[in-house]
Amino acid sequence: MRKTLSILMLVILFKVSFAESFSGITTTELLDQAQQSLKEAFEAGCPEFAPYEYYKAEAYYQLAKEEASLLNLEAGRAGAENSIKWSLRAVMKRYDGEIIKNNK
Amino acid sequence: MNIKKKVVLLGLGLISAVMNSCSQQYQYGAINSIILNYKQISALQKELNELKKLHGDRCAPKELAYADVYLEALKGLKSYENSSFFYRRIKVSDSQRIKYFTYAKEYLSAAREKIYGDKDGDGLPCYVEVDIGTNPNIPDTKAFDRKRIEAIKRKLLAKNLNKRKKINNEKSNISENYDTGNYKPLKLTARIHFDLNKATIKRSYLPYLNVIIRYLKAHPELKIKIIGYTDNIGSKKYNDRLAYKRALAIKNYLVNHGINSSRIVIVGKGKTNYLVENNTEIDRFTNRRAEFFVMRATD
Repeated sequence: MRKTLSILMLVILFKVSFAESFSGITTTELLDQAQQSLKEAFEAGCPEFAPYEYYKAEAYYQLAKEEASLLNLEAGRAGAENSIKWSLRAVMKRYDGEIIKNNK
Repeated sequence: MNIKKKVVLLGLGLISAVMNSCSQQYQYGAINSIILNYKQISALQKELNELKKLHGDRCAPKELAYADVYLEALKGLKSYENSSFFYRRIKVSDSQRIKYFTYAKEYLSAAREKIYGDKDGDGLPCYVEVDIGTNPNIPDTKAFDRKRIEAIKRKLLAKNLNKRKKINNEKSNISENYDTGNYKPLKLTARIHFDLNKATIKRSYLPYLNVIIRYLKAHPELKIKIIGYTDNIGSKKYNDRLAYKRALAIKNYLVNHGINSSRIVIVGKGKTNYLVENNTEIDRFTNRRAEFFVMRATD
């Protein structure tokens, strides 16, 4: 019984700690973060080496900005969150060298 | 803090939580009145997937990425904010959905142009160049590349010619089939396929037949012609008989459901007019069929 309870508590704690990852940040801060990630991806050369991922991040950022400006903050936050995710993916792809250079 | 204050604060917290959930409910209620239907969105999604298969992420990455995002916005943006395991979809307003739908359509058409376009002017569309491993942005000058490209061009040309031949054959077949009596074709209504060596109607095709029955009952002036076909297995004589049986099975079904037998003409054509080559089981299944032609009087 004790074991089960402790495992349950651990799972709950784990879930809560992840759930809190973005909840303490305002929408504007999240949008700023998305912009920063996008800038980093751009500077890393992602538009050339991981274009699909980079433009997806850019599209999400545009969408997030538009939704936030219409006060649909939830959609704005979701867009910004996705933008950060895709910026990171673009950077990862760029440095993993998945794009073959001879196709440049 | 005394107990009274604590109770008041708890009450306020509860009220705000209830109001928040109510506002969300209201918001989702508004979104339930979907202006864009599911079919329109899934058609766009299908097109996007097809373009992705044609190396869309290499030929038109920007257009495809934007289209992808706007399409996702139509379905609801994924958010992992409240849970690390499950995502929930955040909806956008109806007016925004219409806007995003237009954007997605525009980006998709731009992507299609780029994928089928020939940017470097060497005669090959972008997706073919990516397929064979040449650069779609620079004309290929190496002799080896040119030879390969010529071979591929010939293949593409032959494929197109075959396609055109097939279409022409089908057209001539249809006109030949329709050209009987004082009736002319309205349209090719349906096609029903059969199992090997069988002339029984599969249950999955009954709804199509029921639609035809309803249509024929609503339009008593129309006639119907049913032509049975087979695959290439077996002798010609046997297949002709089997094809006729297939057409007859459908006629019997229609007659049993109240259509006058004088309105139905049946023909068994057997081993002719294949839709596809008989190479695989699926191809042969495609060829084992009965086709319907609804006809109306010419005068």
